Amino acid sequence: MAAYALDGCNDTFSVCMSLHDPATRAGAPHRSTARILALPAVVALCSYLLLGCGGHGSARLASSSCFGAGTPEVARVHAHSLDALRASVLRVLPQRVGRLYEEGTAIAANVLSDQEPAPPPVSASALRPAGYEMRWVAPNGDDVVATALSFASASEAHRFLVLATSPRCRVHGAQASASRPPLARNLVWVNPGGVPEADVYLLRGDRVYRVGDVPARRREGAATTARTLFTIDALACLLPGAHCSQTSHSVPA
Amino acid sequence: MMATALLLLDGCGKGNLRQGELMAPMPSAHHRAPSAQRRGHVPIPLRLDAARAAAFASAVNLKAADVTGSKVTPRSRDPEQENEAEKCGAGGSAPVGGGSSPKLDRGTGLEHEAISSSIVVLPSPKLARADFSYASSKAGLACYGKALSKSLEGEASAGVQLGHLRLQKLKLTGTEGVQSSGIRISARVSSTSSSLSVGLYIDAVGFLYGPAEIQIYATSFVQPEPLRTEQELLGLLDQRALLNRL
Repeated sequence: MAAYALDGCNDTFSVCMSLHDPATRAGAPHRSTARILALPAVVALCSYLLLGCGGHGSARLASSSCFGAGTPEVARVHAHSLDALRASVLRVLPQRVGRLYEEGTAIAANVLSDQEPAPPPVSASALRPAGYEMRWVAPNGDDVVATALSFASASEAHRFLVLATSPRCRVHGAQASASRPPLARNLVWVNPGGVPEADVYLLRGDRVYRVGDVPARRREGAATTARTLFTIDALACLLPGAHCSQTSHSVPA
Repeated sequence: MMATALLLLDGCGKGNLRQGELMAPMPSAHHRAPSAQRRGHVPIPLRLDAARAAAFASAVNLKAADVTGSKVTPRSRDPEQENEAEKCGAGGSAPVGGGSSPKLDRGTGLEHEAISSSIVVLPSPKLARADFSYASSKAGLACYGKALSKSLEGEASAGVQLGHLRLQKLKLTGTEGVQSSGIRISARVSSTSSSLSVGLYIDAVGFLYGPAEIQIYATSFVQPEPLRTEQELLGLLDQRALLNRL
């Protein structure tokens, strides 16, 4: 884990905030957000999270039971192929809105372990995983992540989606259809850092997208979870091929 | 300090904002971890010359593949600006050689950012340390501030106003033992024809590798380049340096 220090951070808010980047996500993130949404599936998810939230000791056990040798993995590509993947996740939270604090390549396991994205390889010509992830601090302090994973085929991507959104593969996991984009799935779970997290997964062709949110402060409750789901579903509409019938111009604080 | 790369942001796409080339020197003391101390004594089995320095720089410097989503754009050089910054060096020792990466641009409009790297090889590690140390001194920073202000004044035409410059020291420490330091320059840039005003951030961070000063430069609007990104790129250059010994 890198550690940063910045002398005299009394100038700009954003610079001072940079000091705390690694701590925000020391090995595992936080994320989640905002507003009441009266959808039965969401209510069910919220209730599940309310009942289940608390224990985190078995996070890795739950993960390892699902993800192993047979788990689909992203393709290997040349560097320039990552440009499109980065562009697809970059649009989720524009820089003037969220403060980007890290980005890099991702493998399939990233969405389960929440491990940090990887830096570029030493050799510029080396193949790299066809996955890209960006992480931001949202204006309300939430930790938002967007990941794009590209598999060898659509069927591989689908197989991965089924595994990634399976509640039995997560600690206190619960899954439901997302309010939007079409065919997207919501997942609430307790991530390896022991923090409640809400994700939305979207399958488009050979790509699987994930947008996740961990709250700045641990605020348990159905309303909080509903707001988080509302937020990530709205942000997912900004992904390519999302095909949302309507796009929000704002999300709740 | 002799190493002076610079970053050009040609037209950020919003209003009349245009950011010209800035001289971003690399200051600051090098705080060594144990592994970094070994780096401070890189064996030099062959005589340093310009060709070796250039080959080393070419092998180590950033490539487009290192900055996902970036495109190579030609560097524009302004000898006058470089001369200004070079006057801030410790003096007394001409560099053996070195080289710069291409300018790597990505994003459009306010999300435009530019990243590049530069390597300057001095005749000895001792001279490199002296040069590096001077840049972090009060006198060095003051000199760079003056040079930067002067170069930015040139941009204050064409409907652009530049606010007060702020200079801050940066220190980055990574897992590989690469301890880097540098400077962050920030300012508000506003258009005289509209109410638009944005932050401009220029980071210059680097480390010593024997007789070489290895640095990266990042320029962005709205928010600074993530420190983690800079740390990772410096780590990358450090690994390449180890594979391509001087």
